[in-house]
Amino acid sequence: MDFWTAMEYAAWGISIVLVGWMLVDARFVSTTYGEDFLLSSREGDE
Amino acid sequence: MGTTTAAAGKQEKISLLKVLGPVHVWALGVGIVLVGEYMGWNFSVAKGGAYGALIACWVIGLLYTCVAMIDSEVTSTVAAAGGQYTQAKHIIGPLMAFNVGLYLVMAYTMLEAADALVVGDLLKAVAAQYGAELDPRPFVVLTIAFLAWLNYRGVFMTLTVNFVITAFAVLAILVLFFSTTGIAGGESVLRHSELLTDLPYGWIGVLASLQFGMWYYLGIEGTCQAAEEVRSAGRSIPLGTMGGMMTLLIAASLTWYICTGLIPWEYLGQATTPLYDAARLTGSVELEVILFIGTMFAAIASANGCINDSSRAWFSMSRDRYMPHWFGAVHPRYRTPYRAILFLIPIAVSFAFTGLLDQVITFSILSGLLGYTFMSFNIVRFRRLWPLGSIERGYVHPFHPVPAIVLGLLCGATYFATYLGYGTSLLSIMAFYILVSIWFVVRRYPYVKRGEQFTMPWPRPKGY
Repeated sequence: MDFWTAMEYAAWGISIVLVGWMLVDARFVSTTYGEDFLLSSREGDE
Repeated sequence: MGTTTAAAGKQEKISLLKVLGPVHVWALGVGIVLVGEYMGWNFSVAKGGAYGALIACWVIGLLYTCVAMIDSEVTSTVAAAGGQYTQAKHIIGPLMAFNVGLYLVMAYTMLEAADALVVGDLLKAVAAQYGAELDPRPFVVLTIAFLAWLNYRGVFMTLTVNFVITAFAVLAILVLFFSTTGIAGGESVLRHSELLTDLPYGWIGVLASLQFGMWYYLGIEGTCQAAEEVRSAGRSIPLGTMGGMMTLLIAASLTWYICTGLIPWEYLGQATTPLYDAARLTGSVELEVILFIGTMFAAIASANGCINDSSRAWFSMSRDRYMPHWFGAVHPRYRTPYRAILFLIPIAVSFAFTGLLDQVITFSILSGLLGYTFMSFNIVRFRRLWPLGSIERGYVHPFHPVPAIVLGLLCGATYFATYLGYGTSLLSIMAFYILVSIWFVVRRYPYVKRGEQFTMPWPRPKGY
């Protein structure tokens, strides 16, 4: 495997890790906190 | 709520974090736009010649100065995420707000996709120099995934990174200017007297070049998406936006001056990366490396800012139930609109994987142009319903209604210019927005809680 092919695989791998991390975190947040709290932001609130 | 209440602790409500200052606002606006100086603006040279491109640079600069002035006044008053969407909701009405919100999401998501494509193509070009063939797609996905992750983790770090890489990209243009003009020492390598010609296609060419003149400034209006996250909207938004506009006017003029002094207009009008090409023509390896990094940073900064802005627009629309309410969630730790950020990742990747850079950019520009057209009559209605003195304004733009009239006229001229080159795209995107407007009125608006969407503590509008 040459350098550039390795870079391509590395880019795919890092992308999967980053998106996977966000999905797992989002799932964790949804199961830990209630929807009423997560959706409680109101425009104009200080 | 069960475990929810315990996990949430004593805090019952959550909001986006107010941590940004004028520097971040500047980084957001200039960061989104500066890639247009590194590539894209030069297609106006193909339409109108070198002088035509300069006229487009300044005429469209006037259009965007009007946009920045109007935006600064309204946003300093309507300080909420969503920017022009929120303005439209309070000043015009729900259907206009829905359309403006969608213009913003489409314009920024498509621009983000185009920026990621540019990063992939640049890396492909580097690999080609070493005799290798590189698939740009994993790098397009990595760009979008990394920047989305950065945005997910917090706005302060996101825009601090944007400030650093945007400042580098601006400095790279200055370094190239001082090096090529001989101000930094040595002789000037610019050959304007030999390369500049009359208007090759006359004034109709100048008119046609207006469409690509938008590349110099497209996205500066995105500064107002930060309104809910700045410590002082009345100070930071006008300062960051107007400072950004001044930076761009200078950078655009310098870019034109450097490139037209080094590259004949026939070639300049077709170049993919004109500033980088100009650096290569100087024969300096240092300048070539600086401008390559500058080009890469400009594309990354633009994609980064676009993720920030498109997610805030989508978040705001969802919070008002213009889109499914589920997307209106705020991350309890990072205080970002995390579901909106996540949702827009596959959309951006899909646009990028079409590989149709010019069509994606054209749709982005047209969505932006529709938004600017809205601003021209939005400010007239804003001043009429809430005259000066009736509500507190962080900034009052001068010479009203002259900027609104100038903006409306220049938008009209740019529509005509776009019709000359991309008539089908213009009509397609108009049809798209008409169809989604019908969907909104028939299917979506019944879900909107009408009373809750008006949040500004303003007095009753004049005449009502």
